[in-house]
Amino acid sequence: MSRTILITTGATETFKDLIQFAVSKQFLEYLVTENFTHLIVQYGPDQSIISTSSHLTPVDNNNNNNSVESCPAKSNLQFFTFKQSLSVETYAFNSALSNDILKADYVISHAGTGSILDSLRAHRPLIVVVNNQLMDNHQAEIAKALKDLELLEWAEFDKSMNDEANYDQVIKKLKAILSNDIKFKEFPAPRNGVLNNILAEELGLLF
Amino acid sequence: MVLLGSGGHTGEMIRLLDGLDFTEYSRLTLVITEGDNGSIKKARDFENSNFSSNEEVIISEHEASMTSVGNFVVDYIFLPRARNVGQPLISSAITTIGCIVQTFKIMWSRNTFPHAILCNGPGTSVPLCYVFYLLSLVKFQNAVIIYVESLARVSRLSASGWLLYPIASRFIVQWEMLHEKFSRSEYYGILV
Repeated sequence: MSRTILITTGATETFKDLIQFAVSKQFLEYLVTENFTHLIVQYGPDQSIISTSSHLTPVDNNNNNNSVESCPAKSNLQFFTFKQSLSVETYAFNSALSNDILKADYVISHAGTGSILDSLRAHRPLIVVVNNQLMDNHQAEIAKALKDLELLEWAEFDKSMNDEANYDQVIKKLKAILSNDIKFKEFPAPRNGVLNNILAEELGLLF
Repeated sequence: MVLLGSGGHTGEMIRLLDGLDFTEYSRLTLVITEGDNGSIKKARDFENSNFSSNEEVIISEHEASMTSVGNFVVDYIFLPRARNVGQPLISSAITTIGCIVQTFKIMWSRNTFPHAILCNGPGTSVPLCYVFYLLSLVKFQNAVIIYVESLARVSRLSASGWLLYPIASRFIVQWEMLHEKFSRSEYYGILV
């Protein structure tokens, strides 16, 4: 049985804390104990945290030539393993990220509207990690408002706590989701034809 | 006519357009800021997946391009960047006026003015909407302005929202909290 989790950290800003979390020993070991088989990490413009991670073992990319060639949407695609039991796929960007969201069983995402909506529309359990290093942080507002509607969980990395405690907080939320202690409501599909009707009314068209 | 601009806004607008039925319309004009390659790509992807194009006529690399599908036309207006970071206010005002003049020049040359303007708040859309509004007051044209506030705005309007609230024919918000604060606004749940 394969079990996949996707972590997406945004395309324009480098969300250091979330990338560091994604490749931390603490998180990787937790995934193994929960029988995850695949981790996918989208890390954005800066590769340094991935390439200097000491916990990931690179997989000979020659073996993966086929999959590399079949994924033109992904840039800097690389494969690693963690303790031989978890395969880790990393890339900078993916212009077809929604395909990987569908492939994943669970999603951890930055607070970007696009990946939040893609995950909710695909009905994937979602933890949003808010980047409080960003200046204009109104995106955090949607994460919190959607959490109030019980559509997702959210977390943030608190600078006054150490990494271990911060990571633990995200892991605990994932654990609660996996054990069904946290259950999400179903995200309602957008109401049909709202904009069509408004346009028709304004333009005096009869549909 | 649909006003696109910068990552998040474009993403939401494309989601809105995905739900639209174009059969009653003859033309979709997408207004994009020059060099905003993310938005250009999203717009092209949207166009390709919704309208299989018969022919593509590129009028000018920088000004506009046009695709016609049977009788339905998808065309683009590319605007110069309204404001670069650190640009003094006076020169950004001049570029903004330049944007508006260019938009009208292109519409004039194609002999087409929109019946409806769909906008969700990128910065360049505000002055453009005001010009359309003023022209509708003098009956020069009569485009209706339909504004959809971004999902990211939960409890406060964006600056563009504030500015367009008084003049938009229809003003749609995606959070109940905003709807309660602004009596003219309409709320139908999350639309994107």
